[in-house]
Amino acid sequence: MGKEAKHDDRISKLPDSILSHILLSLPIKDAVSTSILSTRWRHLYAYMLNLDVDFFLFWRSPPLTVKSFTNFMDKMLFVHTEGRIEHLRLNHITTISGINDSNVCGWVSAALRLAVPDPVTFPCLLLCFLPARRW
Amino acid sequence: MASTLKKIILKSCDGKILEVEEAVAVQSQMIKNMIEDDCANEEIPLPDITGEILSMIIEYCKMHVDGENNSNNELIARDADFITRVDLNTLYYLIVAANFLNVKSLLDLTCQRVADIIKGKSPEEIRLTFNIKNDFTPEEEEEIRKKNAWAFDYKD
Repeated sequence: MGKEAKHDDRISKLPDSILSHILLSLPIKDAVSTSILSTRWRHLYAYMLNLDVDFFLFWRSPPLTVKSFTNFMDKMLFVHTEGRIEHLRLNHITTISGINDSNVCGWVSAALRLAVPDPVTFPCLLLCFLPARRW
Repeated sequence: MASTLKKIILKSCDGKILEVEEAVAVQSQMIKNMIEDDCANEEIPLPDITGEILSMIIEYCKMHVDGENNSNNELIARDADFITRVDLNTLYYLIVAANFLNVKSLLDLTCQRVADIIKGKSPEEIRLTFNIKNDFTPEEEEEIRKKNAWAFDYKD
C-alpha cells in the first residue's frame, strides 16, 4: 500500500459518472462512507442508481436508528432530485417501528418519479420486505 | 456474424500504431460507430491513450472475442486474472480509456476493481491508498459522520 500511496490523487479527478459507477459496485454502507473522504466525494453517493437499503445497518447504530433511516431515505429520494433510480429495494423494513405508511408511500412515489425512463430497465424498480400486514 | 479480416488502424498519443482486426476493434462502441459511419478507413488517432494502455485494451478485447465460446466462468476467471495484474496508476488510465472508447465490459471491470479496493476499508485507509487529501474542516467532518452515523460504524 505504501508504494501505491505515492501516486497523485487521480481517482478524484474522474468524472462524476465514473465515480458513481464505482459507488454502484459497492455495498451501500461503503458507498455512503466515501462521503467523508473529501469535498469531491461528499455528495456523490446521492447519485447512485440502485438503492439497496437494509434496515439492519441502521438498527446497529443506536441511538439514531429510525431518524437516521428516514433522514437518509429522504435525502436520497427528495433532496437530490437529479439522481436517477434504477432499482430500489428496502430490506427488513418490517422490523422498523416508527416508520409509517406515509413514509413508505412517499419514498415509493419519489422513486417512481426518479426512475430511469428506459423501457428495458424500468421493471427493476422493486420493493422487498415491505410490512406484510399492509402491503 | 461473419467477421471480415479488415484491419482497423489505431494511433496512440505517443505515436504507436496498432493494427487491430475489425472484430476486436468493434468491442469499442466508439470505433464501431466510426466504422458504421464509414470514418475508420484511415488511422484513428486516440489523443489521450498511450501505446501501453492501448495494447492492454486490445489484449482485453481480443481475449473477449477469442473467448466468445468459452463458459461464463472461464471469462470471469480471465477477467480477474487480467485486472489483478494492473497497478493503481494503470487502472486509472484504463478507466479513462475504457470510458473514452466506450468498452462497456472493461469499464464495468475496472470500476468493480476500484470498488473492491475500497470495500471494507476505513476512510483513512482509502485516503492513504488513493492519496486523497481530506479537505474538510474538523467541524464538517463531524457533521458528515453524525448525519450518516450508521455508515461509519466499523465494529462488525
